[in-house]
Amino acid sequence: MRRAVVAGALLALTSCGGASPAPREYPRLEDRADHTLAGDAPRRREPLADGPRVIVDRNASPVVTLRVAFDAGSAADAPGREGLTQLTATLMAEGGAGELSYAELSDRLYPMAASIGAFVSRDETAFVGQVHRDHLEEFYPLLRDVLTRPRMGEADFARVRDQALNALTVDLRSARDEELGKQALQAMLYEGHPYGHPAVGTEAGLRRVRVDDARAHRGQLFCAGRATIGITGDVPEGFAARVERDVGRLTGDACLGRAELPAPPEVTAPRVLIVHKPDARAVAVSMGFAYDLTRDHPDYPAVLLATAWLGQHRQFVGRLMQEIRGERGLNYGDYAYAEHFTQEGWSRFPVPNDARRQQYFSIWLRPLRPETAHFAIRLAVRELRRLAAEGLTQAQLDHVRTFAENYFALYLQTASRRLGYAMDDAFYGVDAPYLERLRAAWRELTVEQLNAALSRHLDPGRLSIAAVASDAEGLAEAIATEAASPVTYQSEVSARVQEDDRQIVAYPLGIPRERITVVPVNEMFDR
Amino acid sequence: MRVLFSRLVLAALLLPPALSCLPAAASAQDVFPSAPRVERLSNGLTVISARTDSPGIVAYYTLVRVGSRDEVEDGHSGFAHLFEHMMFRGTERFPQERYEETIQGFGADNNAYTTQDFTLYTVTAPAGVLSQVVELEADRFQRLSYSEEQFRTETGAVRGEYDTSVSNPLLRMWESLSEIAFTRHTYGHTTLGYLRDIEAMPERYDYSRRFFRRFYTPDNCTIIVAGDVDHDALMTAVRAQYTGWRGRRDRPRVPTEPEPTAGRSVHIDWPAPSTPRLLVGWRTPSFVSGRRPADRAAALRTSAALRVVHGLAFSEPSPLYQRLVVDERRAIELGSWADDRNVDPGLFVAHAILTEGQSADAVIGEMQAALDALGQGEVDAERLAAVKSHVRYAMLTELQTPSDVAELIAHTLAVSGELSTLDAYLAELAQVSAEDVARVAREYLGAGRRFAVTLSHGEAEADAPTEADASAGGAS
Repeated sequence: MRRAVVAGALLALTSCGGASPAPREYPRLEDRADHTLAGDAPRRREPLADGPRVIVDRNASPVVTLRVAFDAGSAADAPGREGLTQLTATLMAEGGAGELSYAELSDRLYPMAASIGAFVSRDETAFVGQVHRDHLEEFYPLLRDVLTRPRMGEADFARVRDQALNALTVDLRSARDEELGKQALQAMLYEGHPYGHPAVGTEAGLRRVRVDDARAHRGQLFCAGRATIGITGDVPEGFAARVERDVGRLTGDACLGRAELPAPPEVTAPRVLIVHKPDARAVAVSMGFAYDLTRDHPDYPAVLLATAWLGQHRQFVGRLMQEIRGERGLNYGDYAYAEHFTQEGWSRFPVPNDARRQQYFSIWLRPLRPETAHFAIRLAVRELRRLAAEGLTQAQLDHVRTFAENYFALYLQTASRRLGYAMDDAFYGVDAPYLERLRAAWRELTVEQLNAALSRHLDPGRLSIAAVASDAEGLAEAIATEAASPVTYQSEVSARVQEDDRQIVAYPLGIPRERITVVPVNEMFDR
Repeated sequence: MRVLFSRLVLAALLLPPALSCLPAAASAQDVFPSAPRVERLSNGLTVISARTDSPGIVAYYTLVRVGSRDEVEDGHSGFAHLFEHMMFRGTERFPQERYEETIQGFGADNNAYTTQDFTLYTVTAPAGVLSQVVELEADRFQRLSYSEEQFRTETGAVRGEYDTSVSNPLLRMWESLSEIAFTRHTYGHTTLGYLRDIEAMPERYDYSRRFFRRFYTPDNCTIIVAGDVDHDALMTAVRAQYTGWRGRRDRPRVPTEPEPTAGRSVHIDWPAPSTPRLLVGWRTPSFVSGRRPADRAAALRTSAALRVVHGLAFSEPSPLYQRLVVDERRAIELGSWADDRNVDPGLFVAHAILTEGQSADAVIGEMQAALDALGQGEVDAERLAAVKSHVRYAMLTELQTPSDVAELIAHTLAVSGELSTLDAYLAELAQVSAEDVARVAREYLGAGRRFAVTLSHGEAEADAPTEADASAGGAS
């Protein structure tokens, strides 16, 4: 069943009191006054649609996928109850439904090798069912009941809450430094904003919620007027209408329209957040800025293309990858993203149904040895500033365009993924299919247009940098004092790299100590 | 990139397996969209193509039968994986920059990964550039060329890959379990290798050149092409590019691991906060062995029955899972690595993450009790049928892309040498009886063949030796 969000990492209840006590002299993130917090005024709500939107692709594939996505994710968590949306969705998928207990539901799904998963991101919750066509008739009522008649009992609630608390307090804080770095970056970009906490929640929020909260939350959020149904595979005629009818029954007085989002907090100068984790053996780094660029923006294809040039996820085409790993061997990988990115399984491609109303640009540096972290941060910031200021050359544009034309087609290899992308297009209100729109825009794109788009959207002056490190104070001090950061290589590097390095070791980041915050790891997402 | 380090470890725990299960009561014809075609060149290179309904896309995979299993020399753990990285460093004709530029021009997804038994190079590209992919791949497999400087730089990326997982206790647990379960065989070290060996890699340039000549030979490689591929056109391109390739695979003497006479456990005191975790392995036979068809069939029947035990004992509907995770909430997570298959005798691995204060030893005891009950013949016919059905449908739903098909073929070849083993295995799986299940549970899954690693933060469990004791005992 659900394996994504808490994937594998589901751990047990350890209060953060179990963590080693951290010194208390560090200023807390929310005490800092140099960025504007979002206001507390009640947010206006959008009207509910009349019924679910339906996207169907009937084809010969024996694997049938149903995606029922609601436009409600962790951003819909009530303040003080962070994690409620994911708990609610998980409890629906893993708490039994209709006449069946969770054990009985698992028993029914198992021989079919069918799955029902709930995936919660900031703005969407997707219930995804997959089954071989041989078992569609037997399977569908199970999925229908998960959506329309979940049991949501007390004991199952306690279990999924334990799992969520562990995913947060043990797994995220303790065992997954790279993910912690990414969540720390989002906490910076969206402080005081509904996107600021991870979907799994905060420790205080999870401890506060009760099963009644989850039941009420379901009634408000998972409504027909907020649903998009996607179906692909060899399904019989009339099947989609049946699903539409069933999901269409999710109505009631409790249903609420989607709340409008506040603007992200304004950032006026680069800043750093270092998560102090005493036992960290390497340094995880993520950096970025929130911006006004979603898939429906006319500049999206151009910025996406330039981002592929800077650091396509897990490919060598990117500049950062070539410079940091290829030329210098400093870490395992270095990538850049034009929008939030969650890798699907072992693929190199992003999951669908992970759309957001507000996006951010980011760079991810895989873990660095502590003695090279400052240098690598400098190198990445320098590359970003150069890209924003100078853009790409015609040759660079031509190369990355040739790559992207075909590479992005690999995003759409399965019927399930094609369906997910079509649903994402609907989320963003884009009328042309994803790949077609990108290819058409890229074909016409001139280098002048590209670089103009970059100067409109890339703003390193608003950069936020998040790191997870053991010697947090040392790193903070080095950055603040612009200390030289020479690195020692295993072998001689090229003359060009040596020349670059002479500049990078002293490259000014321009971030004084007062814009550097150090937070003990056990305070991350504590409330 | 380029490697999936402990795919064996993390794939099993963190993500759904990419492909894995093999169907019961099905044959390869049911599994593959069309029957794969197999040819062998006179130099020993095998070529397999499998058409799938994937317009415009091909997966061009090269399987090399070398993995951490072949790392027999002391101090060289992790070398097969390091070498996989080196394969991206170019040739004289296509130096690294040109190789990358060319393959990026195709918009290809280009990667590779290493396991205990094999290394797999995975290119997925537009079908229209297949002949150019053949040319590029043929060039690097025959004429790889890199400088000592490039080699040393790449060792830094390998170290960086180790660091991506260093915060995860699972890596450390897998290292320990391998060590205590294998005192002589090379499965005693992980595919990533020991940190100390990774740190020594920069000095091994000459060894790396020899490694290429020893294992990157036509008789040790198989090209697998799935997707929108025309077999004859493929063969024409392959013959033109690979016929001149020469070399014979080296056969390092991989030590035989003696049959275990007693189990063993070890405890890790983890520096970061963690609830108790456990990783347990029972020593099992090779996926397939023997020369005579009857012997191979018997071995495959045993492997198939062990696969069924995974489903009976550790799947989500299993009584143990439902009791520990759902009803009593003593475990946050419980499962097993159902799809592991090895060339040599390996491990049947189960794992759990417990809630705070729970005893790992008690849970290991309950796992053992569940297996002992199967061994005593307590096998429910309905559940046996459910597991077989699950395995069959899991495979039918997982094979969706050209890459999925190429991987299944590669994994089958890597552990058995022949694609026909897939059919034979499927036939045996369909025949697995309650008696087979009881037999394999008795023979292979008893406490005397059990190796266990427990981990917690704070205080060690009382009756397991610590990690330091295990090292002193000569493991590794």
